[in-house]
Amino acid sequence: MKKFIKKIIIYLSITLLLGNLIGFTANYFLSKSQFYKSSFLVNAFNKGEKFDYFIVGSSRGLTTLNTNLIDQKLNLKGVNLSMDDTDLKTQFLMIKHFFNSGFSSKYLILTLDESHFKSTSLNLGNNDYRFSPFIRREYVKNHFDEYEKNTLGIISNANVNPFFNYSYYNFELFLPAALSVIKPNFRNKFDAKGNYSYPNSGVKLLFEKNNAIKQKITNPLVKEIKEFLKTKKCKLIIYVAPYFNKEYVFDTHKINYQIINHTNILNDDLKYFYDATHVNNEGRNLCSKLFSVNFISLIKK
Amino acid sequence: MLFNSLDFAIFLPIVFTLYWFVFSKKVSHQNFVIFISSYIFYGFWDWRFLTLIFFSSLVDFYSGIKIDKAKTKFKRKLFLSLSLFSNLGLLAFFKYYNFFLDSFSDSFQFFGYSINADRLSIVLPVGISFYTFQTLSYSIDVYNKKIHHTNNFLAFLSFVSFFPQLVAGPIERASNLLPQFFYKRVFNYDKAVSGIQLIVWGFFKKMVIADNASIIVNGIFENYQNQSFESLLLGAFLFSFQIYGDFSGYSDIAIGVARLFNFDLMTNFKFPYLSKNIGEFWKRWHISLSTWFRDYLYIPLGGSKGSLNTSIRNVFIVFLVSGFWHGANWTFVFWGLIHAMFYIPLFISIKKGTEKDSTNKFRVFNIFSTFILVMFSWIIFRSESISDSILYIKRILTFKSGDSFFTSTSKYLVITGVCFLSILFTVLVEIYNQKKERVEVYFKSVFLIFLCLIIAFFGAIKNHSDFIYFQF
Repeated sequence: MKKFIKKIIIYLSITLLLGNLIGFTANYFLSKSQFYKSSFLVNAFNKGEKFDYFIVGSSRGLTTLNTNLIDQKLNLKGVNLSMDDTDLKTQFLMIKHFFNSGFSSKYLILTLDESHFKSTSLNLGNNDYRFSPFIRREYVKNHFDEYEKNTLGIISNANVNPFFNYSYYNFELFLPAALSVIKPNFRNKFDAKGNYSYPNSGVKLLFEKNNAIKQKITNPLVKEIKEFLKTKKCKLIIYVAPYFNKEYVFDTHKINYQIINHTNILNDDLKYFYDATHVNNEGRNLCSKLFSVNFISLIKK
Repeated sequence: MLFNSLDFAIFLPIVFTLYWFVFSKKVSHQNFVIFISSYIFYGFWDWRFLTLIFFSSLVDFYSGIKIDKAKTKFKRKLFLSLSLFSNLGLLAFFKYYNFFLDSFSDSFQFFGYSINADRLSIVLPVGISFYTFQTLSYSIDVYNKKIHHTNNFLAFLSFVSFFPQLVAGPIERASNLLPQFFYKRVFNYDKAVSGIQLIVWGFFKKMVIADNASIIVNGIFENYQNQSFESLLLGAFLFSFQIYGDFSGYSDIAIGVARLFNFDLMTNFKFPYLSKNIGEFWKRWHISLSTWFRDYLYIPLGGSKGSLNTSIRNVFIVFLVSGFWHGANWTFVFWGLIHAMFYIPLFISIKKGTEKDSTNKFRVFNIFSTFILVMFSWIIFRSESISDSILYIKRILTFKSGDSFFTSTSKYLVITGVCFLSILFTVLVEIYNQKKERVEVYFKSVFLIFLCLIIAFFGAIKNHSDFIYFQF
């Protein structure tokens, strides 16, 4: 029995050791890559680089505004740091990541989804693991400590035990890390400025005449983001991208946010939509042009 | 509690410690640990159904005593009937009640009548088909005077609920497993090491092959109407290995865990995809069930002793019942029927003595063609309905063009690649071990570390799925 237990402990220890060695190596390569937005920001741009604006949001932020077009039109310098399937607290983490990585910007364009006008869930986001290569940074660690409910603390403890993290998220982290060894500049579905668009495929959506919905933005996280930006001398502009068959109206007098409201800017024209919540490439071009007009007028105020 | 869960990773070392270090002095103490831990294991899924296992155990324990002590044949039959009716009755109610009701209602509608069928919302107790068959084997064996009844209720309870094989087998015979509960177990180093090897190999098959394949298979079968014939073929191929990896993986883990407690469970799979014909396939696939049906259904029906027609009838019955055992759906019955049709020509040639021994020249071809037949039959098994399976097969045979689910995203393409590599690895390992005339794989302990790392970095850990055979 003694021999058996001894052997089990030795073999388990070797497995853990080798697993962590692989985990740390994978973490290193992923942090030096451009695969996900978190490492793309750090590796694709020079430290200390100044931007005129940066966009943060979910897939709606990623696919509605094209920074190439906006920069060309307004002669500005911007980057799109939106990530699909993320909520406001992950977007806040991206904002912190931007400034803590040594970048600065005059404006943040926060693409706010309707599900975050009032509140945000306190559970770990589906794509938060994409920040795990930077787990040693305090603000990233704090984020995972606060929101990860898993008893093993798979991501929270990845600074000391990356094995579990790279094993649990093996297809999301380990294989991209392996790819990054060969192609460190490979980007996961976005261009050199962080943009991505959905194709102009036909979409069948039923139109129903609805009245505009009066909405207030009361999510305390938005306020917190604004306070944070103040310390970084960056101004917040909230952008609400188009929805099919839905219009929101915001009372801008009662809230101290600058809002560019494009919820019904496309007049529910199906040729601009990929689905009910995302525009297609044609819709993106139009939205980016219209956004440029609104944006420049806000800057000039 | 699933084998591939954190709960089990905590549960197993605790039970192991209690069993070998705290309650190891007396056999009754060891059985008590097994009994309590087995009920906790099962209770993690739904504690209410513990009463069912207990009831089933109680009935068969009592029936066993009464059958063995009965002086007349009538009384023996009476108590055997009590066991059969209560076990099969439970199975029929929980597993087949709604199915029979729907089929009854559908048949009336077919003739233009309509009847009101009130379905019950019944939860199927996990593993009911496995443990009822196990307890039944006890009563039948006592009836057939193959074994004597036991008066040791704790040992009997532990035998019925033994947690490694409680929910998905192997379906043990009382003659093999029950006596092991009568003697004090002493730790056996070699057996424990081989147990660990089987557990790791089982996890590899389950988490790397089966769970990864399930992601692709589900995507293809859910939208088979839009898929190209290549994609559908891939779906059928991967499902063949998904169900193999899932079920044989579970069996390996179960046998391995049992060995840690110095119990021997029967081999359930012997490299079935290396079979040269359907007959051999059924001698290598889910052996505990096929031998159960052989001993308790086929032979009592007369087996192959009667005329050719009677024997063929018996084979058909066994395959149909075996299909029906898998679930309350006509697809399973149809699957059993198809296998009977595959097997009958071979059976006739064996019976007539005209069966040709396959030479090495055709060996690879025979293995390949047997696999193709089995693979197509799995389409029926996996489909929602018989018509779905026919359409699925029709799309393959008519070379239909369409979407390819596995190439729809780079992630699915990578998963498909991982599946292929792991399947290739498994087949090579099995061919090597078969050549060495082993019935299970064997590794040097150091290789286990490599295997553990492969499981960790290529297994579907986040997207793991339940064991397929839990639903049966």
